Amino acid sequence: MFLITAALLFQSCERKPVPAKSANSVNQQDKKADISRQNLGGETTVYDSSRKAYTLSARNLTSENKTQFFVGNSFFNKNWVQAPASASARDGIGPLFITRSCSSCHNLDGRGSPPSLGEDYTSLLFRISKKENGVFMPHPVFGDQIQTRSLSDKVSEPSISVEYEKLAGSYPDGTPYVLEKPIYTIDGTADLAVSPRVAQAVIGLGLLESIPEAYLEKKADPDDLDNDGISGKLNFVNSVVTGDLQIGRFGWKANQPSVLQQVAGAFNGDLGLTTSLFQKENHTKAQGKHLASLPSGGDPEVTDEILDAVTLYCQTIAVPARRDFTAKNNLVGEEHFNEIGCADCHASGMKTVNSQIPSLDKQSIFPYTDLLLHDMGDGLADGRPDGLANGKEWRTAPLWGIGLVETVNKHTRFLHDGRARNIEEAILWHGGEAERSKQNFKKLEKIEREAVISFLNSL
Amino acid sequence: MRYVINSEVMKKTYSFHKRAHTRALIFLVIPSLFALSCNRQSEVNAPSSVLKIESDEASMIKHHYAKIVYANYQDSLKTAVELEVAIDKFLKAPTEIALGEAKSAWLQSRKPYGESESYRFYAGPIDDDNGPEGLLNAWPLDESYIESGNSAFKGILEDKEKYSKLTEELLISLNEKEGEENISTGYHAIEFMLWGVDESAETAGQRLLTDFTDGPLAQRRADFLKIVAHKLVKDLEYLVLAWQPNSDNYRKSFEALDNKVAFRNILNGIGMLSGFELARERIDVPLNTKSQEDEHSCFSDNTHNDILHNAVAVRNVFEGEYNGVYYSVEKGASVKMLFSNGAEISKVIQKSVDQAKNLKAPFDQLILESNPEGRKSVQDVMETLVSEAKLISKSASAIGVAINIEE
Repeated sequence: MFLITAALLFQSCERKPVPAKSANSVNQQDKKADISRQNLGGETTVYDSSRKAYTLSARNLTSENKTQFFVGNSFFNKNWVQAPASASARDGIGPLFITRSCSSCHNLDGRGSPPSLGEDYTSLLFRISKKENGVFMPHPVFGDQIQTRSLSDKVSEPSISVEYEKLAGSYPDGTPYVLEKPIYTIDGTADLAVSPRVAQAVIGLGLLESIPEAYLEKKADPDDLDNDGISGKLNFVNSVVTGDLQIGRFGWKANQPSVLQQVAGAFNGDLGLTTSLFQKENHTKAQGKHLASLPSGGDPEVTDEILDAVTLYCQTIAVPARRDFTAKNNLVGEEHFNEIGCADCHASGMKTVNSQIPSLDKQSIFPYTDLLLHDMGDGLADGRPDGLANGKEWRTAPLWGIGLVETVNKHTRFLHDGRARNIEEAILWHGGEAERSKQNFKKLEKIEREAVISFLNSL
Repeated sequence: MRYVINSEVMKKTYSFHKRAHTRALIFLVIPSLFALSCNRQSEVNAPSSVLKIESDEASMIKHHYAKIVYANYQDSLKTAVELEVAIDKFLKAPTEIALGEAKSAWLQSRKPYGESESYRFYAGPIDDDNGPEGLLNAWPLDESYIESGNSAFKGILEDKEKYSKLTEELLISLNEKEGEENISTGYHAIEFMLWGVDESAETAGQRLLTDFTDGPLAQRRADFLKIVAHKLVKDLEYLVLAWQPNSDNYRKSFEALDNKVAFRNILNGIGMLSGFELARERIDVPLNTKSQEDEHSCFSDNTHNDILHNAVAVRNVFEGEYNGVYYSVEKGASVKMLFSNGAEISKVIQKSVDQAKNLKAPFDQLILESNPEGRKSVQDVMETLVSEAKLISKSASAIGVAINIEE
């Protein structure tokens, strides 16, 4: 306690006035003294900063759920095979697919990256739309997602090309930087809106699912009535289970309302597996004549039992605790993070409600996201609407666990298409509603910017 | 040297846990002492013999533990060298007898390695950032990743275009690539090569001798097996070096660790092995999926022995002794001496070993719906292991070395 107080004191003497708003800064200091904030996922938090940091179950998970967690883990890791096969619980992959297991893209439940030179596109997928008469529609032949692999040599989807545009910039203090903007094209097709999306880490999803709707609605300010330059809107998407519109919470554009639907969607789009939610294979009618005769792996191919286990697994993977929570540099970094406006969208300190899973209920969590859509500017725009999200809007990415990506996945590629080669570049790509915060970040002194990044790496 | 560890870093990481548990500790210690004095008349004298964590006597625990680890890895290495020799002999002159000898050598090598798995789960040499654990013992292994027999999904052996020459470097780079079942090195890759897929209820996999003598893939299989067997030896050599005495290596830094940090590591290892790894991943999952795909050694039908030697791995550490194939360490100082309820913990550990011994092979038949008796025997050992992990965790908290394990 002594140390923390001293650190705060020291910090408040030393700190320079920071541009932009800092209305909450006094309250923030009180919060910081609270050591429970190191437990980003409340009582579900685990203490592990090894390569397996994302693979553990919620610390407070009940015994009953634990068995299902491990069964789900097993199916998450398993390679699915072509039907028919003796391993009937896991056959039916394809006919079109990207990969053979969840863990292929979410390695160790972590984050994907763009492929290195000469490798296939696996953990970076491409959603596509064709613009017809001003309306974005799924492509008549390839659907709304490119599958890079096929069981039939008669049907294959187009390959992907990339070019990089180098963007040079500098900080007010003169420090230069160069960003790389990837520009993807789908070979042989014109007029496509292409949205590249990298696999996200699978931690704390059940907690995000249990953030109260009322909290999100209150946070949303689609018309920016409070005039702070930040709107933030909810995506409303169709629930396949109920048929209703529900708040979108998952995916880069918040286009999935629940972990269940996200998981079933990934089984379908990425592995070519049917579930009770998505009973049709992922190919279009135009492709179907060549593919319909291929054997199915069952109806559905992923049984509800397996789907439920994988869903529970994804809901209850724990968020690791912060490291070096009381280190002065991290406390200072968080203070800057709050004051320059990052925390306005990368929000934390909410309480979960109504989870069907007892261990996830009523937890104070620090995900550093508001789950809302924000205009992130032209630099990041994909030009492809998704539900209510327009071509410039992206969901605020959760930041919990971000500092362990390098340990777990051996890379530091961030943002929706993994273009940022480190956290600093990810910040520099922010635009639109986040432009002002980014400019504030750039105006910080080098040592202050490093503190912000040190804080982010402690999450 | 790659395996020199910064003990300052270790301390820092763990001191961070310490604070969070201080309050819990106070509450736990009192009732456990209370329970002891009320209920355990037979152990009335136990508390006086319990070692204080920071005492010099307790420091001996680290040294004796390191001795056991070293002996165990030497044992693993020696049996792996014998395995490599047997495989080389088989590949030079493939006969049924030579194949049988290679299989026997593999089964033998699994005993010490299985007992070494309690040295995982604290970022020691086996599983820190440079640790070879994933190269040695990754599973479940999708055999079709190595050889599929299906032209749509060519395995490594079949894809001569992409992988024209098999090398150690290539197989290392392909291990765990794009999928946690994509395994191309280690014990289970060797197991698959020696046994092949197990399609029979009564026997293990029946690899045909002709797989290594005839056809377009025979040489590829031989090359693969030779490389993987050699790599296994190299990885175990690395572990032996990391733990050998009187060297500037991991062992040196381990023995110099703050007692509390070292004990936390040791207890984390046995807690995670008995709960997370053995009870849950290796027993609970196959028990629920009823699938051979989820058993540990699915090609050789050796899963029952894997379970037994993992259970023994916990006992070795807790009791402070090792009785291996070629190496042994006599009973000495162990973490048991830190606990007033050491006898209680020993009893549960022994129960898990006894129950594991009683599993009737093959494991893939024990877990079938049609075998309620078999399922019960598997369920029993699983439950004992879970309670063992919980007891270790609870007891560790009570003496102020709270561990973070899954059970």
